[in-house]
Amino acid sequence: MKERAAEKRYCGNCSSHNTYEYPDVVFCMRRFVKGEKAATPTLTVCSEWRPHNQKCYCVEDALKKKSAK
Amino acid sequence: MHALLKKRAYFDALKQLTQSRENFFFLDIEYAHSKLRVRMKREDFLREYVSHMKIDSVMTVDDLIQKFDASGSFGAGRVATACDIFEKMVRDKDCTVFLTVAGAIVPAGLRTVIADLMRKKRVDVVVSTAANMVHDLIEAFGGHHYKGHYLVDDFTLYKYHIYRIYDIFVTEDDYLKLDSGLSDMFDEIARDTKNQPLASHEFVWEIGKRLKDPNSIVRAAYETKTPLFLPAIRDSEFGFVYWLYQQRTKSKKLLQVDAFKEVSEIMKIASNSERLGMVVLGGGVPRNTVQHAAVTAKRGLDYAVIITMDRAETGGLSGSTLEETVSWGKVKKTAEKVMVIGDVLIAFPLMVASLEERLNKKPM
Repeated sequence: MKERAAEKRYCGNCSSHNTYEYPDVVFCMRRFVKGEKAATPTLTVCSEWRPHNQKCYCVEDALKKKSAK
Repeated sequence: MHALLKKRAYFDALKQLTQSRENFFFLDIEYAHSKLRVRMKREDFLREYVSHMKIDSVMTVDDLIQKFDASGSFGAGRVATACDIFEKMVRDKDCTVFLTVAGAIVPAGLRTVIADLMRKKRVDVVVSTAANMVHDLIEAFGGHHYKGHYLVDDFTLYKYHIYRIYDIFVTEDDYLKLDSGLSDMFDEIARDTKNQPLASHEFVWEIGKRLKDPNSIVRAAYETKTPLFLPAIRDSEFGFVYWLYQQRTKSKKLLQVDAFKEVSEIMKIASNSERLGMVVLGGGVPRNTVQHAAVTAKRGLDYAVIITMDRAETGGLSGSTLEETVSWGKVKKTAEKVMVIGDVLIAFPLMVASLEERLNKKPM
């Protein structure tokens, strides 16, 4: 719980995300069902962020790729 | 009565019974009896030698199948019989051939085989699990299936958003590209069909109309107008995509796929056919659909080939023997039939290759 609280919030660790172009782009189910553009960069975030129930590598690998540039 | 059969009649009857190896079901021992209900003679059990296979470097697939037939034993014998029956039902101009598809055979690599069978008119109707067509569409939308392994850390795969189907991997990315593309397609199909209820094969054709991939099964079904029934369509990604589409569509009139509408179509096919044949890959709902149509149309199947790993002992349909189907009238007593216990990915390509070779040597 402490670890999840310390985690920075991104689309890539939100409960609404699925991968779309790993690790750069995720698919936001919440935006999709509203009819909005669902493909969104992993390292953005919106006000409706909710924590993902099991941690994945999306954010970690997106950050690694960003720092490698 | 049988005891009174004259010697000639006895041998005539025995000759008819033993023309197919499959008639030697029971040995004449104290608590079992032969089909003739007379005690078979010792020599009747010892009619044909097992012929040992000789393998050489120039053999074709059908050459190997002939060796399987000469051995006549275990799965090899069954596969050889399956090839013979498959050839007969395809060559029979008055036979409607049903192919049923269940199990993860499309992700495993049989996509093009099935599409080609439709294009070459080797099969007349396909009945499949919807999941197999989802995997077909994943590739039609630009995705892929990857060779993997069954001994991997599945939680690591989860963290990379990779799904495992035994030793095949498929990415969540490819599923989502399908979900979003298909969801848009549902809107278009609903508009084009003026929201009329569609049977599953009509729905499949509408999707196929909008694809470009020539290796796609769904595209092949559309181009050849082969009915491709998905009797349990909801139980797949199609069901989830429909839910997504329902939530986001602005249209008040939704796409309708009527699960019952296809029943009259499949009944019409079964009733209007002189003879019926089925090739079952796996089992499940698709197998039941065809068998049910055959018995309800008061026809019974004339040819039946099943390839499955399922067993009969737990009473499930997928493992039920062809003998059991005779009790329902689903398969005729006189049908040419065989059940191969084996991996579809091994047996079916052999069957298709053998068939194509035979048809090439002696065209229809």
